Amino acid sequence: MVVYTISLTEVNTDQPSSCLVCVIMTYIAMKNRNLYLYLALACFAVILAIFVVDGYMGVYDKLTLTIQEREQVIEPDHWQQRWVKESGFGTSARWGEPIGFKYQIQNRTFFTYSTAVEATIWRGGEKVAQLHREDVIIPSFDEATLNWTVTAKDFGEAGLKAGEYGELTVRVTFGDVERKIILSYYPETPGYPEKVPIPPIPVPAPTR
Amino acid sequence: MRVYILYGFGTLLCVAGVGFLAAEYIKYLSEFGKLACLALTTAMFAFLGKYFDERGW
Repeated sequence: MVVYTISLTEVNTDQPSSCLVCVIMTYIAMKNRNLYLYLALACFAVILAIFVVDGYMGVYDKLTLTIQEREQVIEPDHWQQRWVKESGFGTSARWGEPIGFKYQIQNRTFFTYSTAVEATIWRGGEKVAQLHREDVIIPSFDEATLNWTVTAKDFGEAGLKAGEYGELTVRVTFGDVERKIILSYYPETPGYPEKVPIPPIPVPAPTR
Repeated sequence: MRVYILYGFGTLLCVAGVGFLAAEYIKYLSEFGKLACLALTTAMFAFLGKYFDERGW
């Protein structure tokens, strides 16, 4: 067993700027030669803990779009992608087909979160219609779910011929967060010509 | 000599891997979390430097 005998007078007394913490640290370091390595490892462990805990905590939103029989779920981390942040999430629907929106806000904090959620339709930088507006109060570690449906009357006039398509933007905002969904729509009429009955072709009489 | 080359290669891969993961996950952190991680990273490298300094490197 190694017995360390050291007095505080031996520890770094030549520097007048030595504080008590530095003296204690040096004393412990002399007793344990791996102290700084352990401290470095402890810092690394705390960084990992911050990544896990801080990454989980916060207010997150999830959007589920229902078009015809298909559901598209936009998870919270999908909104963090650079191209989604800049251009929005793109999807398409047939003109007149109702589109179901299910918007979930998760409050993963220790405080109650209250905000106003607003969903609007924009075309060419101008607001066309307001779809939904609701004030929500979400308790700590709970979630709120909002539902609304977009129908053809919310779009305004389609003015589209067969084979053409139009676009509009659905903006969902709460707090200082804004989510953009670019909705492409196409008319109900098929993009191919209708069937025309073939006129009867006269069959020449057989020659004798 | 070959062992040191392998050590260097392994260290480089570890640093690149940790850097890639940090760049991926940093966007999910709050501003305070980013600041705390920066301070802890600085402290971690300082402690590592001190450790190697005491070992005579």
